[in-house]
Amino acid sequence: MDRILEERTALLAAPHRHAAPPAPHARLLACGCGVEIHGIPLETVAEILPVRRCVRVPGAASPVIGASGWLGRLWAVVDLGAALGLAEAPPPEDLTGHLLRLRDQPRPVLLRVERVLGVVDADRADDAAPEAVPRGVVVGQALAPAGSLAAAPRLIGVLDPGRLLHPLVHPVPNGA
Amino acid sequence: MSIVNRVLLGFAALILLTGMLGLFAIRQMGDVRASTETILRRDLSVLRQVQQARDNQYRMRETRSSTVLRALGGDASGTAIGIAAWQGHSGRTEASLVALATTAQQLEGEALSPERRQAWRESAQIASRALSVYRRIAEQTAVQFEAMRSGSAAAAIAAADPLAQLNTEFDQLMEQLDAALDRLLRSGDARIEELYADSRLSVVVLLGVALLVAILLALLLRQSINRPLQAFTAFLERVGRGDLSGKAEITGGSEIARLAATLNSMVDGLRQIALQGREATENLNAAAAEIRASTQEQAASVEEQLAAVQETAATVDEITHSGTQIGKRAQEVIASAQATAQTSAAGVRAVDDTVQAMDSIREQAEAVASNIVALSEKTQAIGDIISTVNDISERSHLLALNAALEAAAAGEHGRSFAVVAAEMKTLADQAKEATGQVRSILGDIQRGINASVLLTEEAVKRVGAGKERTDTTRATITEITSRVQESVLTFQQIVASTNQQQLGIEQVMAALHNIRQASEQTAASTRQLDQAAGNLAGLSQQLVTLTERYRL
Repeated sequence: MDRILEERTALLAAPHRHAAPPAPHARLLACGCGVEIHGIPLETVAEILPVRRCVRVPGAASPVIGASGWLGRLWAVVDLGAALGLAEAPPPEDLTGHLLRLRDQPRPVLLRVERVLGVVDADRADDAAPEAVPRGVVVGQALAPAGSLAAAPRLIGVLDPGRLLHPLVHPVPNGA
Repeated sequence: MSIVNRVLLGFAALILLTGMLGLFAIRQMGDVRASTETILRRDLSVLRQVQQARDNQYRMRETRSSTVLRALGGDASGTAIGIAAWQGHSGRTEASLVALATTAQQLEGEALSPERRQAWRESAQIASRALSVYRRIAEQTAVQFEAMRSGSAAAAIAAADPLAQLNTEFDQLMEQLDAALDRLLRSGDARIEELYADSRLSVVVLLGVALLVAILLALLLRQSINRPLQAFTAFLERVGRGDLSGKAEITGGSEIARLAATLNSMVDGLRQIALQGREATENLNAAAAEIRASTQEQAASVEEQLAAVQETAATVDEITHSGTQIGKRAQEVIASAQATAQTSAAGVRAVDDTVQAMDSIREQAEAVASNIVALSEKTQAIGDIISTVNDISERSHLLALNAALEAAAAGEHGRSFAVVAAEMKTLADQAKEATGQVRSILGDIQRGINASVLLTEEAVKRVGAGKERTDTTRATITEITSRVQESVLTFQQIVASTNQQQLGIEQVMAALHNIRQASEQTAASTRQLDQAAGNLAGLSQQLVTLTERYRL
């Protein structure tokens, strides 16, 4: 974080240098989860829905809240907080928040977030090469500029939704 | 041995000593006298002999000279007589000289002191020399007589010179003998003095010894008498101090033993008396204490009685006093009850006024409440509208986000669309913000309305409660009025009965007065009893103190 601020300061202090390549930035969808804000890359999200009626599915694992019917299909509703392990999955009866329809998902899954705050142009805060990205769900950090989410710059974690939903959409077969 | 015998024995010893001392002194005196007598006798006899010798020699000389004269004078008869006389004298002279010498020699052997012996010896020597001189005189005289007989006067005269010489020698010898006898006498005196001094010394020494022995005897006697007596004295002193617990020892002689036995019996008797006396005084003391205790109890109970009587009198006084007070108060109460009745009528009127006022207040409050309710409904309507607006803004937000998504998916072509989408999002946000503010204001209004509703309801409740109270008050006042009227009647009855009570109390007072007098008399007599008992106790205490002098 300090490194970013220093870079920016140097950039501003030396206007005659030819512009340094801009820091890699990404367009993220900022989602609130408790007090934390996570960023989901905008290209992975197809649509944002208001919360719909959801029914309980007996025998469902924790991140799965239930099922919802939409556009003639039965969609599984997964809670972001529960999937990240940050919070308990809310009961499906009085659901609140927003539902995200993600692109390129093999199964029909809707990701439930507490609130979608907005679209931010965030600078990546780590300079790790894509190859060295760890195999976790949170793939990096990004700095939301001042004024986009709050008065001060805010650090948000970047999620990979594919990895997040991987264990749910590709279940391990029993006995394998 | 009894004391008398001891004393007698002591006296006997003393007398014996004195007798012995006297006898010894007498013997000494006798010795001295005998010595003195011996010396004097001897000296006197010797002196007499010397005198005799001298006289005889002098007569011899005289006779001789007279004979010589006669012879010279031719008196032959006278001469013969004279010669015969001279012979006679001469014989006597010789005899006396011989006797003197023998006496001196004899006495020398018996001399009483060395000086006297010496003197005797000298005298003897002188006497023998005198005797020899006498013989020479006698010879010479005989020669002279011969000469005279033969008629040679010149030879007679010529024989006179040696005679004179011899006479002178004889006289000198006699003088020497005198001197010797003088010395003898003096030595005799000295010897007597010596004897006297010796005997005096021995008498004095013996006197001293006798005195010592006498003193010793006296001391022994005193001790032997004093010891038992001292023991008795000590014992009697103890008895005198009051210690009757001891016993005299019985030892020694019969008189002492008798005395000890008598003393013991006497002390026993005293002890008995003291014991009995002590028992009696203790009993007396106990009895006096009992009497004292009972009189004090009696005094205490009389005092209690008196106190109770006084209390009762005081109480009765109070009752009387309070009876009068009651009468007065009853009158006052009647008066105040009538005033109360008037006041309560006024109170009822006031209560009615209050009820009317409360009713009007309640109507007002109800009007206010209905206004508030209308207001609340209107607020509710606003709330509904606001929630609709909120819903719209929410949907716009979602729409904007979806638009942004589509714009991102469209890439370059969707850039202007993205701007539109951003604007929409901004609008949606603003609308949301505005609805938020309105909602908060509505919230405030609603809270204020609620507070007002609560206050109004409370006011209505209070008015209702007040009305109830007022009703209660009215009922109470009416009841009070009726009760007051009842109590007026009651108090009049009380006044009547109090007057009757007063009469009864006066009788009680008189009775109490009598009781008090009786109690006071009893108290006085009890005090006298107590005093007497106190005196008795004091006396018995004195007795106890007296008997405690004796330790048993």
